[in-house]
Amino acid sequence: MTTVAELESVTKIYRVRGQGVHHVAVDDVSFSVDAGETLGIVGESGSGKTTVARMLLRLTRPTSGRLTIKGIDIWAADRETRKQLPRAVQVIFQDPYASLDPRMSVGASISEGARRVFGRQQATRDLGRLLDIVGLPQRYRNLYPRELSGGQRQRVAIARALAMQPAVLVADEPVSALDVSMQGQVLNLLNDLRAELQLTCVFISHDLGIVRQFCERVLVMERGKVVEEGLPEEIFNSPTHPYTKSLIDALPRMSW
Amino acid sequence: MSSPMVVKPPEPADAGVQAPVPALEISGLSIALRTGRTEKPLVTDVSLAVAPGEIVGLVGESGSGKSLTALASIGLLPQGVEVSAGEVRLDGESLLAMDRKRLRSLCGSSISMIFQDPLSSLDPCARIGNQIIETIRAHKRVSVGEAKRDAVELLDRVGIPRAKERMRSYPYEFSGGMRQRVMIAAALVLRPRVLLADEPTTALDVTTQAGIVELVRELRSEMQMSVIWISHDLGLVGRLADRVAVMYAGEIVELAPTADLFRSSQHPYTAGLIRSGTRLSYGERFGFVPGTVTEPGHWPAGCRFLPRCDRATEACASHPLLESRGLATVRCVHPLTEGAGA
Amino acid sequence: MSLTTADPFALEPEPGRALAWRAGARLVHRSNIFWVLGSLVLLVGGVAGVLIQVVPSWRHLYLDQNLLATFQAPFSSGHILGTDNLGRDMFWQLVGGLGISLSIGVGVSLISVVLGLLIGIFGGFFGQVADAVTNVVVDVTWAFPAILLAVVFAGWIGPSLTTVILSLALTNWAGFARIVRGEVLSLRERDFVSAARVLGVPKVIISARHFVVNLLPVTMVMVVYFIATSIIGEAGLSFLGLGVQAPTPSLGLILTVGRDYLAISPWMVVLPGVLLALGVLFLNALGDHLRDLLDPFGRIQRR
Repeated sequence: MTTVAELESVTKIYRVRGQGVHHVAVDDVSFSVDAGETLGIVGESGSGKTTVARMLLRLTRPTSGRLTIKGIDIWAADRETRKQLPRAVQVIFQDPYASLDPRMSVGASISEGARRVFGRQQATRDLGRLLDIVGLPQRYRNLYPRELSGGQRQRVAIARALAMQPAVLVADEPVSALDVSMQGQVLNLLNDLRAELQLTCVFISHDLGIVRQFCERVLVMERGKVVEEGLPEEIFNSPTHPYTKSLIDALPRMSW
Repeated sequence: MSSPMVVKPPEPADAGVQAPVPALEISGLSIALRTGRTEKPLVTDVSLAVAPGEIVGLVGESGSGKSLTALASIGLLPQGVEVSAGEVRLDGESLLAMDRKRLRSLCGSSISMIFQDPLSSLDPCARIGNQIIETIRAHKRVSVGEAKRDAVELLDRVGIPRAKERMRSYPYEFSGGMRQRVMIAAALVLRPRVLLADEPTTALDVTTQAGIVELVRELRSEMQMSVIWISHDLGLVGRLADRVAVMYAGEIVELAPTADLFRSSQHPYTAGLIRSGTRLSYGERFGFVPGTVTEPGHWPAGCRFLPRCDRATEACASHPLLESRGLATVRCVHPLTEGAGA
Repeated sequence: MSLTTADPFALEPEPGRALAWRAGARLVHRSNIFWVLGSLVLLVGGVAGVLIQVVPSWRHLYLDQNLLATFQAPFSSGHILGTDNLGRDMFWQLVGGLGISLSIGVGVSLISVVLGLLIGIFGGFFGQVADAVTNVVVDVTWAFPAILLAVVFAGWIGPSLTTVILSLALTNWAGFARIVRGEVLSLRERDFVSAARVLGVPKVIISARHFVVNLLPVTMVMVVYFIATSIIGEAGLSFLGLGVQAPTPSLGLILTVGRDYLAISPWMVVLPGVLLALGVLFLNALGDHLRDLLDPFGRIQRR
């Protein structure tokens, strides 16, 4: 199996200037993701899972360590090589109300990145296909985010990410901000898409239940460190770390 | 049938004993948004009776009206939103009819509320000790010293370590979970009969949530306090509540004892919620309810859940009423125990 | 028999009617008649004031002197607002002055806003070094008095309309740049900006497409405030003799000349003074009104 993304001893420390106080957000984290695999990262607030994602997306600079996607060292690469990154990795954020520019139409948002890489005409052609893939009617391309529901906006965000034909899709709590009865729709959509497009997926969530159902492999993070790693069923049935145990205990009880 | 159904908790087993007067009784409550001359209904005909010492979970998603129901009970509806019909009684006394002065004297002492974001309900510029003492002295004629003792005692009870020292801390000096405990302390310091909790753990970590839930359960027993716990998280409510009311599009669609609700839910929406929240093994399809919630103002005349229901028939074109089925009440023409729709 | 289809995506609600994209139309609709009328009056007055100076056949309206009828009081001898020290019609002098004031106001405002946007975005979005440099420049400019700059320009290119515009614009932009930088600092953390960066959109395009567009409400409000401050600024500079020179009409000039003749007739001081006060008061209030409509969260502070 080819490794598509890899983190080697990645650390992120936030220093507060002048106070000597520092906060270790990510502490010596290493892992790799194979092509076509879906890796889940589970943790609560302060676990560092979002910081890991942001470093992988080249949004937050690591203090030390190496991050590679498709062989490119994303933080050491020169400008020319960096231009390949938008086609290597894309993202879906948690908050559907913040991830779309309220002043840009749906169509413009979806093709915002694709336009630059594939050219305006190609991007417009692809727009129709993308709307179909995520299950939105064609006429939505002229609407604005405020006219859409949360679930619909997330689908726009998915289309925008897929427009770049990325190898890796990072989904940072993609359904946490949606109503429970609608989360399944988006999750099933992501499920179908990753199978059809053979996407490699990094799925970040605080919900161990969702991660278990969606991911082939799981990392559990607590306070910046990876405390447990393995197959979801194994972790569920025989967790080794106390934090994992407390996460499992806290899961909602749906059956009586 | 035009009169609103007042739903009481199940009768106790010994026949000779009279059912207790509900601590909080909401009957036929309707709330609407008034803009100019138009009125848009947000909540319609909600009836709920909470027995003393009972925890009732009020579950719903966006647009269900669950928060508004609680806010109406305590007189905190936002500008422009008004009660258009119905009644809320606290120990038999009408909360909606009383004057502001009496309502204010009851707030905190007989009925209290906690919210999702403690940072916005606690004054960020005042030490928490002073805030709690202020609350006490606004309702009881006690000395500062006595009020302080009460405050420290309760802070200790809710699990704040070194409570006496922490009285001098400001809200921002606490973590999210601790802040929520402080808010609970402030809300309970006068031992109210009824506590309204509006999504108090939604913003907290799962592990912290469990602690708060446990705390509320203990306090309920100690203080014989009734609780209405509002949440979008059916699973969380399932661990805490004695009975659960499910709201959809401004009305109650199912009300049942917790175990019954989960074991044999009757309304398709309840079943859908349970399905959506149930986690399975890798590779399985996720459960969901098709479509999205209809916005207030666009509710159909018939069953409001109809656009999303797979059991819908022509009979659903007329608005279903709440009906008793065993220990539960359901608002559905084709409840799940009946069998598949025609 | 089921009344619903199996396709879950078909059941999501149809979004509402397309929203009016003409933001201006919406603003007008939501403002009450007072603002609309007042703005129209000001606009008409300003345009008239410019026209009478530009159109040759109309120049006489404010230039015609009549040394036999100087210092006439208002409502006398055919002059609604009387005449000035050279017998020129006060009404048209004031209109002309208003035209000058508003032209300068709009000019300064636009330059300040553009400079403020460019520099504010540069500091807020293009790195720590850029931010440090920008902050120094902004702080120095902010502290620099416009009058001093006007004196410099007056000495260098002579007092004139250009002097006024340059000295006001080059000091004014700093306050707005500060506001813009603040807004950009928060905007750049928004997910849609992060998404654009991950999509590979260059920072310059992000600045134009996301920042400027989202800053439009703030900008519009500041434009109105700046017009108000520029009017006062121009009047002040002309009053001091550093700005507009005769025969170009200017409210400040009328004031400064009228000051010498205060014993004879108060009108040359009172009339432009009242007009200045009313105009600036209206513009400030208009700015507040726009701010209430566009910026309900109170991020904009009037200087």
